[in-house]
Amino acid sequence: MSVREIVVGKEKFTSAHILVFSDEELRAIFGETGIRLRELAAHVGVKLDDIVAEIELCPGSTLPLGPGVTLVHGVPLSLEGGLIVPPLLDEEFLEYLLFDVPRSLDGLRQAVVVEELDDRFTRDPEDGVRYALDILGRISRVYRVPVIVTGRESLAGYGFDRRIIRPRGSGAVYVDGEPFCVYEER
Amino acid sequence: MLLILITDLYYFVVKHLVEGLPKIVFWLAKIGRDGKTLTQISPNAKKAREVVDMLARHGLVHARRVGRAVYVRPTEKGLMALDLIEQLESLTGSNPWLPRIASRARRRIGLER
Repeated sequence: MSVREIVVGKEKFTSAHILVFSDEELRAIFGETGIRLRELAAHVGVKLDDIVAEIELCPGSTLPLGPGVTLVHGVPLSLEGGLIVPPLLDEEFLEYLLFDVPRSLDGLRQAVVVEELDDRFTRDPEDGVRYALDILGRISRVYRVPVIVTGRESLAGYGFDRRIIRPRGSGAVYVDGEPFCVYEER
Repeated sequence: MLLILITDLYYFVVKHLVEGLPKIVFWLAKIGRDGKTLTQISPNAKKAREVVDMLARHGLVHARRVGRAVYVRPTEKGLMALDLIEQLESLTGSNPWLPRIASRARRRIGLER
């Protein structure tokens, strides 16, 4: 992890953190400085190895998850470690994703877990979910960590890299539509 | 003529897709259709001149001195690029969460009270 930090106002940002921001966010948040920040961060560059997390989908059946955003529905999440995003809503939730998650990953890179994504927005939920997934995708790409999102099956319609779903009333767990294992209630 | 302009614009976009395009889009959008004086572009005269030189190199703006002020206006190619930017923005749709989060973020960083 690069130790070079860029100070803007009251906050310090690593080059990896700056690279998480989209051009629109840089313009909207930092104004003219935003584009310069991106150039500085790109100049320093970020080279990181992939973090792979293992999640247990059925007793004795684990699946390694590399970088990317994965939807998990209908399977209790069994994961060792991981950064759990607190149950925040709306702007607070998005601010946490953009500022606090990257800062935490600057210290320790690990899987990021967002529970019940579809319950995080009290207004404009579709735009909110789409935007949150966009931010999470950027975090995963820059920091090379897996991101795990839980929520209703209807979330599968959004852009995920992987979908792990156990349909209601079914014992089978599907990974990207292919049967992976059979889940039995313990 | 129109075809040449569109082809020129296409190569301009492709050439700068990887590097420099966000910077060009940002400054061209800031100058807008009506143009700006150098001081309005940036109070830092050196920075303003760099921006205008960069955009002028691509034939997107032209600068004209009127009295003590230098007015910078988009060229025909610049106006077409602005059309393209607006069309792309309307295609991608506006994100209602961006201004909300931007305002919070600016306060958090100390860029806004």
